[in-house]
Parts: sequence; C-alpha cells; structure tokens
Amino acid sequence: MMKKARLEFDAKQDEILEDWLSTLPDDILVNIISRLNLDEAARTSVLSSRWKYLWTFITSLDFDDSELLKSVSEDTIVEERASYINWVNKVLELHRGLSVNEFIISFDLDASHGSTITNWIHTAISKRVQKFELNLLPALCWPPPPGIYTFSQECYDNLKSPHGLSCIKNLRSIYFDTVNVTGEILEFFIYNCPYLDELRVGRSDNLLRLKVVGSLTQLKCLDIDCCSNLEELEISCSSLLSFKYYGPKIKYNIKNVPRLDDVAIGGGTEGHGIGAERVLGPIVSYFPQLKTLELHVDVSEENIQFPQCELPQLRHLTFIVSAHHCNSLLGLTRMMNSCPILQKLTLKLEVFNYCKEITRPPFPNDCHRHLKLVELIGFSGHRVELQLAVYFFGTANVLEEMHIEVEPWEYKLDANIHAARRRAEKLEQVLPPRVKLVIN
Amino acid sequence: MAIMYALKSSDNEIFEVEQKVIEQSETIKKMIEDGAATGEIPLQVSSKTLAKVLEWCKQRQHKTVENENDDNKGKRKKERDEDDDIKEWENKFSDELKADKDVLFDLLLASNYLDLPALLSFLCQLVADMVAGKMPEEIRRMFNIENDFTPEEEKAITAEHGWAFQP
Repeated sequence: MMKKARLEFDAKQDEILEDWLSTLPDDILVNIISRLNLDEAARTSVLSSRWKYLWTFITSLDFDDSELLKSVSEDTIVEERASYINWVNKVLELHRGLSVNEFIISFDLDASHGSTITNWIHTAISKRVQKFELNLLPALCWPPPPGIYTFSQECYDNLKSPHGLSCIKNLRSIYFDTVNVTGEILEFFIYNCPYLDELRVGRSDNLLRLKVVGSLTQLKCLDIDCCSNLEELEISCSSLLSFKYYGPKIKYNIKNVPRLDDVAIGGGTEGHGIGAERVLGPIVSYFPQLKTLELHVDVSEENIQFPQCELPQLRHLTFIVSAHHCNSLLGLTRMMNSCPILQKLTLKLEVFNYCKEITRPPFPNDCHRHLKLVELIGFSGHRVELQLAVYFFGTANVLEEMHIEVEPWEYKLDANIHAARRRAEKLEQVLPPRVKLVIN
Repeated sequence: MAIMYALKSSDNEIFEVEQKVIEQSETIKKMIEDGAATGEIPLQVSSKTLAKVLEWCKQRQHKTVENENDDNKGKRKKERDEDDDIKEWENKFSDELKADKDVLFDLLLASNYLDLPALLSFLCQLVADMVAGKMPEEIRRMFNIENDFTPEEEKAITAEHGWAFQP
C-alpha cells in the first residue's frame, strides 16, 4: 500500500517536471523573449533546438547602451564604438522578424559612422518599426569633432518611395537626438504617418523651421530640445496634448490646440524661461487649460517677472531653478497664488552658489489650500532651501508629503551628500504631524 | 439588470458571467456578435483555468468601471490608493501562478485562445521576469528544458552569440 502511494507520488512529480514552456506556440514564446534584454534573448538560443531561432523573431530591438557611456574615456571610446557597431550589426544580421515594435539606437556615434547609421535607419524602416529612437548624444565632448550625423538624402528618398511610404505607416513614436534632421523631413513624417503621436527632436542643427498644421496629423506629444538654429515654429494641431520646448528664443505661433494641457518651457540666456528679457510667448494664452506646467527659471536675475495669469486647472507645477547666486527661493511661490487647485510642486535645483545672507520676503498670508506633495530635487541642505521647506509647513495646510532628493547639484562629494542628508533629517524637528518626510 | 452568459468549461462546469466581464475576450465577444452564443458557450478551457481567467477579468472590469466614474476632485489620492490595490492584487495573483506552474501554463494558452491581450501580456511579462538575468543552465533547470544539443553544437551556438555570453 505504502509502495503504491509512493509510486503515485512519483508520477505526479514527473508530471510537474514536464517541459511545458517549450510546448507553447511560437508567438507566445517570442512575446516572452521580446521582453528580455538583447543578451538574455540571444542566450535562449542555446537552451534546446526548439529555442535556437525563436529569439531571432523578437519584436523589440533595443540597442540602448548609454549606461556604458558613463564610464568611457578618451582612451576607450574608439574601441567601445567599434564594439557597439559590431554588436548591432551582428544582431541585425541574425534577426529574421519582419516587423518590430521598437528599434532603439542609443550610443555616442557621429558623422564618421554615417553609412552604418544610414543602414540601420533603412533596416528599422523596412521592419515597419512602430517606435524609432536614434540617440547619438556624445559622452565626452560637444560637438563631436567629426560633426553630427546628418539624416541622409538617401534615407529621405527611400522613405518617399512607395515601399518606404507603406513601411512608415505603423510609426507611432519618433525620437532623434544629435541627428541633423530638417524641418522638411520631420514634416514628411508628421503628414505621412497616420498613427504618429509622439515626436521628439534634440540637438539638430538643420532644424530651422517646423510647421505642425492641419487635420491630417494625430500628433499628441511634441518635444523640441536644444535645436540652436531653430527660428520659427508654427503649431495648429487639435490632437496635441503635450508641448515641450527648450532652446533659444524663437518666433512661434500656436493656435488651435484645444486639448493641450501639459507644457514645459525653458531656454538659455536668450531662451523662453521666466526672468528679465524672457517671454513665454503665445503659450500664456493657453494657461487657463493647463494641468501640468514646467518652467525653467533663473532666480539670480533681478526681478523675476511672472506673467499676469490665471492657471485655474493646474495640478502640477515644476520649476527648474538655475542660479549663479541666490538668496531666497520664496519668490517662486508668487506664481502659485495663480493656481487655486495646485496639488503638487516640484523644484529641481541647479544652483551654483547660495548667498551667505538670506533674505526673508514676508509672505505671511499665503495659503496653498490643495497642495499635497512638495518635491525638492537636488537638495544641498543650504538655509535657502530649508527656509522654503519650512515655508510650506506653515502655508500648505493639507500637505501630506515632502520628498527630498539629496544630491547637491555642483559638488557631488560623499561628504556633501552626507551633510545635506543630515540637514534634511533635521526638518523632522519642525515637521507638522500630518506631513510625511521622505528623504532619498 | 446586467446581461448574463453561461460559459461551459471543457470538463462541463457552468460559469454564469456578466456580459461586460466576458466581453474583454475578443473571441467570446465575436461569438456573441455572430449570434453563435445562444445558451451555453462551450470553451476549450478547464474549469480550474477558467475560474482563474474570470478572476482576472472581474478585477480588470472593476478597475475600468471605477476609473470611468471618477470625478476629478480628489482623484490623485484615490488613484494612488487604487493603483496600490491593483498592484497588491496582481502580486498575489503572480505569486500563486509562480507556485503552480501548471496553472500558469494553462492560463497562458487560455489567454491566447480567448484573445485576452492584457492577460497574455501580463503572463508573458511574468515568465520573462522569471527568466531575466539567468544563465541557460538555470533556465533549463527552472522549466525542465532538456538540452538536446551535442556539446559541439552547443559550443558552436555559444560562439555564434559570443557577445551575449560575456559577463
């Protein structure tokens, strides 16, 4: 009797030990493998003969190796570039899938690798990519000495062919960084990709003008970052939800954006931040509908002039604060009085130097009735920052949490980080009982 | 009054389910639209697996309805709490599946057959998380995959994908 029970138990064990995973249909296994990183995916080829070629049909080709760039030097970069190019080419040579959801290139490459990059673009397009990223941001010096890669005429001609046009129909998201791409090419994508809802462009010297106009486009997010030669931007796009611009002062014309509720604006000394000689331009007329707003502010400039405005829908306000010297951050809270239902305030601090003497502008009557969360990022523990934190303890009567990310912007020494953390922890002593302090 | 449908599992158990819950399955939705679903809807899914499928669908349904009814006021905290609840529920669901790989396997097939993209994607991610970061020998052991390559063949494949095996 005992023996029989034992046998049954063994049989059950055998059943559990069955290799059910390998019996799943190919598309489920490819779905699983596509969620691994490329190395892990390729390693499945050695599991058994069933698995040998499955990984070559993965739908995600994510060649983002930008982490590695944090540790490269002048001595190693040439070798690292060659090895990156080899890796991408080897994977593409083995890959057999006819369509991919994403194709991501992210590494320090420049004009001298032009023909290789052009080939990758051809491959991505011919695989009917949905999300395409080409990020060539250099790790060591700007601009890269051989020049920035330019989106080639050959690529553009290929896109315009009937085959090219049919291949880009699935594009949903495009991101070019450190790629010289013209307004004409971007507009070609905007008007010929019916599902394109996200377009992000950074550091293109060839972008002079861009027009996003008309009912053909479904664009929801437009992000233009540091395109130093841009002169003119025209937007009239009823689907647009999010607009981010960082760069020099340009002529821009924005109308017919009824769904726009997320905006970020900033720029260099001549840019579109807030402060002397800067303007937000036509964006201000859309302030009443915004739910999130991010502004770059230079607080070392005299007289930060906030526009006369009302932001009745605004939930989340972010200030990216830069300054060469700064004696108080309380001036920033002026704008919050125009935001009656503001729930979240984020400050990213990029301050070179705080003044020894801090000023105490008196705002005793301020009351931020809906503010629940304040985030202070780049916290160094200076009295100017502590003054701001304490100000919110007194004026935000439903505040639930304060998040502090300790990372002094300029000197990231362990001793400085440690000191900043200790000062942040001291805030516990004056913390109202309902507020939770989170220090990271 | 919600419209109810009777689903019949492969081992002849009947499950009474609201139309809204079960219409998440494109396969069943099509059957209903084509008028093929009068009376009991027979499915090639065991009762144990079907119960799990319905558990998932009800949770998803719950989530969509609550989001629709939400007004904007005070949404943030509610949303956060709700997300926490869903996360917690999903973690529990995953833990059960990880402990009983037979159910996980049946559920993968069922989500594919019933055309439930959200469940399929959730389960594929679950298996991917189990495999991620592991070397081939560990994966073989975890899922009892029999290595049918000769040592020479294995060596050749490893060499061909050399970049993937570097530490």
